[in-house]
Amino acid sequence: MVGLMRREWQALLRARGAVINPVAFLLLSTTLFVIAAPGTVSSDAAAGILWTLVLLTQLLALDGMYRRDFDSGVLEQTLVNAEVPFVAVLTRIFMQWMSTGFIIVFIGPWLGVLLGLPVAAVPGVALGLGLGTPALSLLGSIGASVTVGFSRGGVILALLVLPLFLPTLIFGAGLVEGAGLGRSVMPEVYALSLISLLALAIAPFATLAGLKISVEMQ
Amino acid sequence: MLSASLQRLWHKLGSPRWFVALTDGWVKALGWISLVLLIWGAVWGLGFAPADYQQGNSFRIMYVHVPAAMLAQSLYIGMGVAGFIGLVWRMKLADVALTACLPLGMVITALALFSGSVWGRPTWGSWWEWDGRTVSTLVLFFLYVGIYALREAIADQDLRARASALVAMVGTVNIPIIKYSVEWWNTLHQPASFGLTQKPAMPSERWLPLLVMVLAFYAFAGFIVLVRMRTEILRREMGARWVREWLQAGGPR
Amino acid sequence: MYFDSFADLLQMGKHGFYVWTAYGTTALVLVASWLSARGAFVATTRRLRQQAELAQRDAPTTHSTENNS
Repeated sequence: MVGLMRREWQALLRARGAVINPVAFLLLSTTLFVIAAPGTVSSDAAAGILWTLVLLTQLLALDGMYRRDFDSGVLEQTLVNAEVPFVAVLTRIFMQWMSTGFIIVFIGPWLGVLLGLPVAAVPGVALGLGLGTPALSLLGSIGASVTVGFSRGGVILALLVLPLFLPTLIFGAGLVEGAGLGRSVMPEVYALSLISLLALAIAPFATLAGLKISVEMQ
Repeated sequence: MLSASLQRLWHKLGSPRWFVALTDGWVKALGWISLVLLIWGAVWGLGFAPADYQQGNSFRIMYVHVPAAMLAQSLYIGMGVAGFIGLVWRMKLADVALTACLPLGMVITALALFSGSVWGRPTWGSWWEWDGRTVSTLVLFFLYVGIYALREAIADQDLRARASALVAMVGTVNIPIIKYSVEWWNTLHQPASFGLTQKPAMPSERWLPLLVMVLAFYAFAGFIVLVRMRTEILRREMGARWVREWLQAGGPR
Repeated sequence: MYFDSFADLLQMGKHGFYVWTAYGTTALVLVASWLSARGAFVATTRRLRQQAELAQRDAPTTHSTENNS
C-alpha cells in the first residue's frame, strides 16, 4: 500500500496541471460571482454558492481520474495483476481527494468569506468541507469508473454523479450556513460523516465493478 | 424437497423461453384489467368523490398524481432490484426487465412532475415548490435520464447490462437519502409549510378511489413492462429455434 | 354523482382547466405508452415471421428429404 501511495504521489507531482486546474477553476468561478453578481454576496447565499462551486470543481477534477491509466493500459494491468485491486482503487480515490478536496478545505473558507460569510465562520466551513469532500471523491469515483471509456463522457459523468452529490451539498451548505449564523452544526456534522462513511463502504466496490466494465469496453 | 423445487423455479425464472410461454396467456388479460381499473378509478375520482372543503375540486388531480409518483419510484427501485439480481445471479432476464422498465419509468416520472405542478398552482398558489417530494421526484427523473444516457453510450449488450445494473443499484440507495436530506433541509428553511407535507386523514370516500387508481396504475405498469419484456426477449433471441417453434405454434395468443 | 350537471363536471368549480389538463395528459401518456409498447411488439413479431419465412424458403431440401424417408 505504501508503494502504491508513493507511486500515486509521484504521478500527482508529474501531473501538476491536474491539481492546479481544478483549484484555479474554483478561484476563478468564485471571483466571477463576486464581480458579476455582487448582489449575491451575502451570508445567505454564500453557503450554497460556495458548495455548488466546490461540486462543479470536483466534477471537473473527476474526469481525468482514471483516464490516463485507462488509455495507457495500466488500468487493465492493475485490475488483473494487483494483489488487491480494491486497495489500488482506494489509494487512487484518496490521492484524488488529496489533490482536490484536501486543498479546498484550506482555501474554501476564505472563498466563503469573499462570498459574504463572516470570518468567524471559517473553522466551521473548513470542518464542513473536510467532512464532505471525501464523499465527493468517493461517489465521484463511481461515475468516473463507468464513464472512463466514453469519448464525451463528461456530460454523462455529471448526470450520474450530481444526484449522488446532492445530499452532501445539502448538508454541507447547511453546515456552512449554520456556521455563518453561529448556531450549532452538530446535525450536519453527523449527516456529512454518515454520508462519507456510507460512500466509503460502497464506492470502492462500485468503482472496481465500474472499472472492470470499462476495461472490457476497450 | 421445498428448496429443490424453489431452486428449479428460480432457474426457470431465468429462462426467457419459459417467461414468454408463461406470460402468453394472461398479458392481455392484465391489460384489460388495468383499463377497467383506470376507468373505474378515474370516473369515481372525478365525478363521485366528495370535494375537499379547503382545496375544492383540484384535489381530484391527486388521483392521477399520487399513483404516478408512486409508480415512478417503484419502477426505478424495480430496475435497481433487477440490476442486483442480474449482477449476482447473472440472470439474462434481469437486464430484459431493466430495459422494459426504463421508458415507462421516465415518462411516468415526467407525468408525476407535471401533474404535481398542475395540482400545486390552484391549490397552493405556485407551480413549483422545493420540498422533499418535489426534489426527490425531480432527481428521480435525472436518475432515469442518467441510465438512459449511459445505455445509449455503450454498444455491447452485456457491458450495457452490467453498467446499468451498477448505476441503478447505486441510484436506488440514493433515493431515500435524498428524500431525507431535502426534508431535513426543509425543516430549517420552511418551518410553516402546511399542505405540502401535511396530509390530513382522508375519509374513505376520498381514499378508496385513490386505492383503485394506484392498483390501476400498477396493473398498467405490469402490463406494459411484460409486453416490453416479451418484445425484448424475442428481439434478443431472434435466431433461436424455440422462437421459431413458438411462432409456428401460434405465437402471441 | 358529486356534480349537479355535466357543465359543473367540466367546470370543477373554477379548477376545471387544471383538473382536465392533468387527467388529459395522464390519458395521453398512458395511451402513448401502450401504443409504443404494442407497436414494438408487433414490429418484432412481424420481423420474426419474415425471417422464419425466409429461412423456410432457403432450405427446401431438408423438407423434401424428410418427406421421402
